[in-house]
Amino acid sequence: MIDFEKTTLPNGLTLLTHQERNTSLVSVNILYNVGARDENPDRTGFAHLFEHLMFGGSANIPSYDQVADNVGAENNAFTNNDITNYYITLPKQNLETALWLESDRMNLLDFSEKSLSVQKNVVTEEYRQRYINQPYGDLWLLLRPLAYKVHPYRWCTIGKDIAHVQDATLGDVEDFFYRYYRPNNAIVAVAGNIDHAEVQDLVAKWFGDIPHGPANKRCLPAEPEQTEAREQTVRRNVPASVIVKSYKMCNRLSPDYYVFDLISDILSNGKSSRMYNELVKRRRLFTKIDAYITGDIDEGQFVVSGYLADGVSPQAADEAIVEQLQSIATQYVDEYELQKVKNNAEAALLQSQYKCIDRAMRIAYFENLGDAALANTEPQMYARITPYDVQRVAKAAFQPRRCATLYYLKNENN
Amino acid sequence: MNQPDRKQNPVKEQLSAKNIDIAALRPDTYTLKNGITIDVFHSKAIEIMRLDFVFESGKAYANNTLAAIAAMALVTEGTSKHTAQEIANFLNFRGITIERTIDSLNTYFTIYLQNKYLSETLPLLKEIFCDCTFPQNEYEIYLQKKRQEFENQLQKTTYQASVACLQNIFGSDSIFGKYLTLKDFDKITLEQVRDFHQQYYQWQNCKIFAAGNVTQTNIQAFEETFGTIACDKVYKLIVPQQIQNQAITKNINIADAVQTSVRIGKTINASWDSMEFAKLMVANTLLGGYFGSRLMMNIREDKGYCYGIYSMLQVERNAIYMIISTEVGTEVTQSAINEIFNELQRMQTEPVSDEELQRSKSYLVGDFMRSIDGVYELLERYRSFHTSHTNDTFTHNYLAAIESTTAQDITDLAKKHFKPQDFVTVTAGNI
Repeated sequence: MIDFEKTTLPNGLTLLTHQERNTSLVSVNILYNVGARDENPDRTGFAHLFEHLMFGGSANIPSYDQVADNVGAENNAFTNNDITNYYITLPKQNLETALWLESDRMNLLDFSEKSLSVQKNVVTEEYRQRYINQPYGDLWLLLRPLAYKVHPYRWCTIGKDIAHVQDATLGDVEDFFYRYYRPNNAIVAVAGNIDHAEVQDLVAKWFGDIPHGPANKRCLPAEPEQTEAREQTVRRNVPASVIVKSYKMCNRLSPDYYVFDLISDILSNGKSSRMYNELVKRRRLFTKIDAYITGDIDEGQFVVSGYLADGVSPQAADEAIVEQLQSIATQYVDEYELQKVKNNAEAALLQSQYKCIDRAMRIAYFENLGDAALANTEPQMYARITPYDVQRVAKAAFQPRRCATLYYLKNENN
Repeated sequence: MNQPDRKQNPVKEQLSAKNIDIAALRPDTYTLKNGITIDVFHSKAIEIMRLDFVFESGKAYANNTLAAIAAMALVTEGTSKHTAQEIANFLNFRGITIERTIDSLNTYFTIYLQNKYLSETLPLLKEIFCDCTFPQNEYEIYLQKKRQEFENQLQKTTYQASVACLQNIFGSDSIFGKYLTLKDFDKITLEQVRDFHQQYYQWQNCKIFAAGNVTQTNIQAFEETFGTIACDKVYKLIVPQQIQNQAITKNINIADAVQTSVRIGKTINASWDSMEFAKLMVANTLLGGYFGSRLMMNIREDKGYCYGIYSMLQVERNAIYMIISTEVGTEVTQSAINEIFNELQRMQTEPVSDEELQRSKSYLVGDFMRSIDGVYELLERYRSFHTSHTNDTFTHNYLAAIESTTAQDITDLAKKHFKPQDFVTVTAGNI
C-alpha cells in the first residue's frame, strides 16, 4: 500500500507526494506522457534522442549533471514506447535543488548544435551496443514490425532505422519540446522523508510559472485485428535457435491484463511451471523457455520465447508451444495452481516496491494511466481471477490467426 | 506566491561525510550453539525478508570450474526426501525466490521470502544445502542449458574482453583469473559435482545474513534448524598471494563486431585498510567513477565515441585491481584508447580544480548515503566485508578520505598508480 497525496497546479502539472520516514533520501520522479509511439514514422527514435538532450543544458543551468553531482544526487532516465521517465535521488536536505534542476529544463532547454551532434553519436553507439553487437540483439527489431503493421509499436524505442536519429534537426527538437514537455503533460512524484505540504509549496514555487502547452490529444492508428498467422525466418550466427511466438493481448487498463500475466506465470514462472516441466525437463525440446507480457499501455503482446535444444526442429518446437497454450484454453486450471501464481504475483509486487524511488515511479505510472490509486488495487485485480477467466482469455487470445512467429535460427554451419 | 530565483542553486547544505555514524550501520550478530553466526539488519517496515547464505566454495576451489558452478545451480534439484518438482512447488507456491552467484572464493544464495513463511522454509533450506542428491536427469538438463548460455557469452565482445583482461592481470591459472572454458564441459562428471558439494559446502565456513523484520521467534527458528548442524569438517582455505601484473597489450578478434570492448586494467599496490587506498578511491572517481568523471566527459560527452565509460577499483581478498571499461565504435577504437591514456596522464600533470574535487566529493557522500539506505543494502556491505576479509576500517578511512583528499594527493596518487606503462590493455572486436 502506497499512501500519497495528489494536487494539481493551475498550469496542469500533477504532483504526487509519498512520505517514508525510514530514509535520509528523497526521490523526484518526472513522467512525461510521451514515448516512441508518438513519433512521426519517418523520425523514429526521436523521443529517446530527446531524453539524451534533456541533459544538455537548460536556460540557467549549463550542465544538469554537474549540479546534480554537487548535491550528491544520482539521476537517470528511460524512454519506452509509451512514456519518458526521469528520476533523481538525493539527500533530502537538497530536495529544492532537484526541483530547480527539473523545473529549469521543463521551462526552457538551451543546448548547442554540438550537443545535438554528440548525442546522435552516443545514441548510435547505444544502438550498436544493445541491438547489434550481441547475439540475438536484433530480435525485437524484427519482432515488432512482424507483430504490428499499423500501430507505432511496430518500431523499437531506439528507432526503426538509426539513420532517423542522425537526421534529427534542432527545429525538430524545439517542436517536440513545446508539444510534449509542458507541465500539463507531466506528472511529478516526490517520495521520501518529506512533509506533504512543504513539498506542495516548493513544487508550486518552482513549476507554477511554467506556461502550459497544448492538450496532448493522442490519436494513434489502431492496429487492425490480425486475421492470419504471420511468420518470418532469419538465420544468424548464434549458438542456439530461438522461436518466438507473439499473440496480441488487451491494453494495460483491461482487467484481463492481469489474467494474461497469470497465464504467463502458469506457463513459465519458476521450475514448478508447466512449460519448464513438460517442454524442458520431460521432453527436452527447449533448454530455456519463457512466457511474458510486454506491459504496454495500448494493446500489447503475450510472448513465448524458447531456446531450442540441439537437434530439435523448429516445427516440433512450435507445435509443443501451441499445445501448451491450447491446454490452458481448453482445460480449467486447478485451484492450487492458480493460487500459486497469485501468491507469486503478490510477493513480486511487494518486492518491487522496496525502495522509495520504486514507489514514486509506480504512482506516477498509474497516474498517467488515469489514477495513481490504481497502484494499490493490483493485489485485488489478481485475487479476483477465476479458473473461468483464465480459460476465457486463453481461448480468445491463443488462436493461430492472432499469432506472429519469428524463427531466429542458428546458421547451419555453426 | 514565492517566486523562484532561477539563477541561483537553492542548495541547502554542502554535503559532508563527517556526520555519518558508522556504528549505526552495524548488524546485531547472533551466534548459534554450533558457532554459526547470523548478522541481522532489522527493519520493521519491510514485508519481504532477505536471507543470504555464503559458503566458501568459489570457483578457485574446484579443479573443474564447472563443478563449482553446477553444484550451486543444482542444490535445489532434489534431496533424499523431496524431488526437484516438490521443492519448486514449495518455493513457487509461497512466492519465494532464490538468487545465486559465485565468484572466485565464495558462493552466494540470496533468498527473498515473506516473513510469514520463514519458519516452514528454514528446514527446507537446510535440506537443500545438506542433503541434495544431484539427480542425473536434472544434471543433464542443466548442462545442456549452461553450455548454450556459455557459447552465447563467448560471442560477446564484452565477455571476451573482461575475462581476458583479468586473466592477463592475474594469470589464467590464478585464483582471480579462473574462468569457465569449453573444455570444462567435455571433462565434467556428475561425480565431480557431488564431490565438490560434499567437500566445500561446509557450515564451518558458512555465514548467514538476514535483513527485514526478524523477530526473536525467527532467531529461535534459526537456532533449531541450523544450530544443530555439525561444524566439524574443515578444509584448507585459499589465501591469495599479492600479485603485480606485467604490462601487456592484446586483441581478441571477433568477426562481425561493430563495437570494440576495451578493458584497461592493473593491480593496485596498496592495502585496503590504508588511507592511501581510501584516497585512491576518490582519485578513481574523478577519473571514471561517476557521470561527471574525466573519462565520461571526454570520451562520451565531448567525442561521442561510446554510450558509457567507467573506471572501477575492485577489492578482493589480498588483491585490489583497477579496470577501465567501455564499448566503442570499431572505427574509433584507437582514438578512444589514446584518449583514455591521455586522461591517465592528465591526472598526473593537471591538478584538479577545487570545484571539480568538491563536486566529486559531494557525489561520493550522496553515493554513500544511497549505499546504506535500506537493510538489503546494509546486508550487502557487511557481506562484502566478510568475503573480502575487510571491515569497518575500510568505511572509516573512506569517509575520512572524502573529507581530506587534496588536489596534491590526487596528483601524487595518479603518479604512483596511474602510470600508462603499467596497464594491461585488452580489446575484443573486429580490428
